[in-house]
Amino acid sequence: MAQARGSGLRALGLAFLLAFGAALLLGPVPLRPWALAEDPAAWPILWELRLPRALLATLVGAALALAGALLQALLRNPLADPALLGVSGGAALGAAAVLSLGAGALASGFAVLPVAGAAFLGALLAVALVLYLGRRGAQLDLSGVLLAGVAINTLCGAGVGLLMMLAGDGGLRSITFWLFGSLANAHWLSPLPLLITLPLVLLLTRSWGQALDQYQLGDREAGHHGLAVGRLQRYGLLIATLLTALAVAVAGIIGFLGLMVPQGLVRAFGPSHRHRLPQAALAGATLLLLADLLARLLLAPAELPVGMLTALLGGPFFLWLLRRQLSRGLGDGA
Amino acid sequence: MTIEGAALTVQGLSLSGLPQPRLRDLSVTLPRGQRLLLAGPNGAGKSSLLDVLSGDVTPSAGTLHWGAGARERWADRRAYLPQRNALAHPFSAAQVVALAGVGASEALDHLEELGIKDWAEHPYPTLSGGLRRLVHCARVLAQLDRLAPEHGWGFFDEPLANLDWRFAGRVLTALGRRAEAGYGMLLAAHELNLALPWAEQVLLLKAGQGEAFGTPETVLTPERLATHWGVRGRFEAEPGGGRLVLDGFVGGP
Repeated sequence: MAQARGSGLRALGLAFLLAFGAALLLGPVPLRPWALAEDPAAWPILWELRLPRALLATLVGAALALAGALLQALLRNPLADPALLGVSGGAALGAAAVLSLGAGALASGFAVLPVAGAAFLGALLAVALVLYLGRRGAQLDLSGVLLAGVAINTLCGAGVGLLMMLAGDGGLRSITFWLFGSLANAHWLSPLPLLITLPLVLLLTRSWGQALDQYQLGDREAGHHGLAVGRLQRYGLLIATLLTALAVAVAGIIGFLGLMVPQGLVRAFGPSHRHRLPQAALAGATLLLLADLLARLLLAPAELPVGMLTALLGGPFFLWLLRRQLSRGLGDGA
Repeated sequence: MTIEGAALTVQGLSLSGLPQPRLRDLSVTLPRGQRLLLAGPNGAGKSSLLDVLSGDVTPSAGTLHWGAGARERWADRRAYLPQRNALAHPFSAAQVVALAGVGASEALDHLEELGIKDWAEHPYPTLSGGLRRLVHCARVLAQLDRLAPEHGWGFFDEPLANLDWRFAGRVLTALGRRAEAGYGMLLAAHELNLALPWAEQVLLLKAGQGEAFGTPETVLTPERLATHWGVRGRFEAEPGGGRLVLDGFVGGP
């Protein structure tokens, strides 16, 4: 049984620490821990480049995977992903609007805060619209929600394109950066919004495991066990929206991470949600650290946007998952 | 065995619906600690009544009285097995039962009571329809057992559908055991040949109205079997149960 397999948090924590260490030491200029004291050039690389970047990868990866795990549980759909629900598109549109107004280079200091705020508002608006359009009566229609998400995402994409045409050169560059998520512009301020939010979310949701499990019974039967279904749905969607929006605000759109990580966790640790959210945070952080490492090393000294890399890995994974679910569905009917 | 003052009293219950009202001015007092069968042809309002009694649906008129000391939260008043289940998540059968808030070993006990312990570790979505239904039945029994017998009600909407006779017998035995312990037990079923011998009292619904409430032989008269179900037959009471004797369809073989 799943309980016998344990929470897996220790193993995931260890993997995360290894990935974090690797992200600090590896790169176009490899660092050796024992030589740090003697090498004066090593400290700026570590302190000004690698450490903020690794911290940002940790927080963005954890936020996206946690949001994905929440959305998959709340929509009762293993194919749900922050990017598919319009959350990412809305956040990108909000951020692009602020950037095109001339907030200028994303990398510069406190610009990250209004941009993050606009991304959050955009995401909130998009997700509210998707949930409103995807309703059947008083209840969420899950395929309706997904279809509405696709449509809203497309509209947001068109809006971003329009803003790009209107924006000046500087704005154009920062908006383009948005569409292919990247951690290349990490500095010490960019992890700040998530550094505050993520621990609070983990604390707030620490006892949600049983509720998310019961929720899988369906609105009605979960309610029979005394679960406040509507409240869980509202808070959960709000948290998933908040985390995605903050992640998109500081790193642009990094797709499929929120889809892949929870799926892998189901395979590794079973279907129970008891430890799912902290598991997702650790595994998401690890995966994005490794993906970013790959993005830095593959074409060194040039680098790939990490969002492009996760899309390259995630697209085929999504299709494989879809085929698997469809062929299973046929097997059920036979 | 009836526990005084703890009956569930329904007064003037109505529930609007289309094309006709689902319940019309239904009044009945349901005693606790008895095996109660909710009978009636398709569309008579059985599920609607269970929905109202379970708090899923607010009636358009009428009141429910749960008796002295009734609990505030619906989840502490009743356990309910609705006619359909929506679960698709790949929990194991034992994990589904544990959703009632019981531990792993208690979940296994409930699966064993219904004779499906061997399937405890199987993923729920891969089980057959009948087995899936039994898993939910075990989950609802687990929830019921967490309530106090003097306050708890168990509502079961067609738990026997799609079950073979052995499993149907297991379910009926399990429900009877809860009635004996003092729980209120109301079972809706179309399998009258199985459920009538089990029942101590029958509430017969017809077009949303309560037509009769009493022992099986007083309620299931040959006339009612013919007009409501279109069969020729009679219920023969015997010590320790009785049996439904059917001679065929009215105007048919």
